[in-house]
Amino acid sequence: MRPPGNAHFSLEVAFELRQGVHVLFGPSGAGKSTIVAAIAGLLRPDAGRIAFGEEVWFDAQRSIWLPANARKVSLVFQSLALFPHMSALANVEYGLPRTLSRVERRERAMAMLQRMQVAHLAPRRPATFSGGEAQRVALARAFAREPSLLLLDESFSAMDRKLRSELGAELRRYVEERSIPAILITHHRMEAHALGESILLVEGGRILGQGALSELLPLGAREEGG
Amino acid sequence: MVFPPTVLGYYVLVALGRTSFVGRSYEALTGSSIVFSEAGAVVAALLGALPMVVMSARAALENVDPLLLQAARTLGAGAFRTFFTVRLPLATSGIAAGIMLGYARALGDFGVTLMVAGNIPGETQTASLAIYDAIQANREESASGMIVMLSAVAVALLYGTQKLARSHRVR
Repeated sequence: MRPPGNAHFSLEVAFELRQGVHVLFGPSGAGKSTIVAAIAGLLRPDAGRIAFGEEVWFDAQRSIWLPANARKVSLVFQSLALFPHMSALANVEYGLPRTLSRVERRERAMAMLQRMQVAHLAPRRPATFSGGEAQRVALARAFAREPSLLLLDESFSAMDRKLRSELGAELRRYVEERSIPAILITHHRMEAHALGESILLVEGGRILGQGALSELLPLGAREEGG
Repeated sequence: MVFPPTVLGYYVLVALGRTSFVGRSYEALTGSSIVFSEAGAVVAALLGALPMVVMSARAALENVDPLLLQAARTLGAGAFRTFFTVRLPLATSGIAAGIMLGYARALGDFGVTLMVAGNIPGETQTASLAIYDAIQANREESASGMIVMLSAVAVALLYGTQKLARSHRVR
C-alpha cells in the first residue's frame, strides 16, 4: 500500500480484537498509523483482508472495498481535525445519521457534549477552545457517532497526566457501555499502561506480539514509581 | 494567462464574430452583434480575468487541510457532502480573494476589450481605454479623474484580498 508520502510500505499484520481498549504500540515509523488508516478506510491496501465481525470491509482477492464513509468507525486524529468553520455542536452533529431529524441530532449532540463536560462550548468555534476543551469536543464527536469500532491515533499524547486520566476513564467507560473494541496508538509506555487493556506490539510493519500489557510491555521500576 | 491580450482578443473575436455560430445565434436572439458592443466588452473583460479567478479558486480548494477531509469521510460523509460542507466553505475566502483580483483585472482590461469591443465612445469605451485616449490626445486633466478612481478601486481591492488572506490564515 501507499501511505502518505506515496512511498511503498509493506505491512504483515494479522490480528483479532475483542471488546475493550487495545494499544497499538511501537516506535515511530513502525506502521501503527498505516494500520489504523487502512482499518478506517482512508488507505487501500494492495493485498489482504479486513473484516469486522461478519462484515468484510476489504478483501483484495474478492475485490471488496468498503469506503471510509460506509464503515461504522470513528477515528480521533492526533491533531483532532475539528472543523474550524463549525461550532462545537455542529462538529458533534456532523457524524450523526442523516436519517435522524434535526432536533434529534441536536439533542444527541448536546447530550454528548454534556457528558464530556463541554456543553458550554456548543455555540463556539474550535479556535476559541483550550487544548483540553478541544480534546473533549473531539472525543464527543467520535462517541456521538456510536461507532462499532473506535480508533485513536496518538490522541492522548499531547495531554497532561490529569486530563489523560480523566479522558482515559471516559474512554474505557464508553467502550464498556457499548461493548466495542477501541484501538489506541501510542509510543509511550506509561500511556499504554494507563489506558490500555491489551497490546499489539508493532515494529517494521509487523506484529511482534499480541497479549497482556504486563507480559509484553512491562513497566520498569522507575516508570512504575513515576 | 500566458496569451498576450491582443492574441486572446483575436481568438475571442473569431469565436464571437458575426460569422461564428455564437455570433449568429446572439444576433438571431437579440437583433444585434455581440462584437463591438457593450455585451462584447463584458465578455472580453470576463475572459481576460477568468484564468486569475480559476487559479485562485483552485489553489484555495487544494489548500484545504486534507486531514479535515479525511475526518469528514470517517464521520460518514461521501465525496459530495465532504466537498460542500468542508472543502468549499474553508476555501471561500480564497475564492473570494480570487474573484476580487479577477474583478480588478477585468476593470483594467485593455487589449482583449479593444480587440473584441473596440473603443467606441459612449458605447464600448471602458475607463482604461478612455484614459489611453485622453493621454494620447494630451488631455491629462480629463484622464486624471478616472486615474484616481481606478487607483482607489485597485487599492481597496488589494486591501480586501489581504484581509481575506489574513482571515483564512487565522482559521
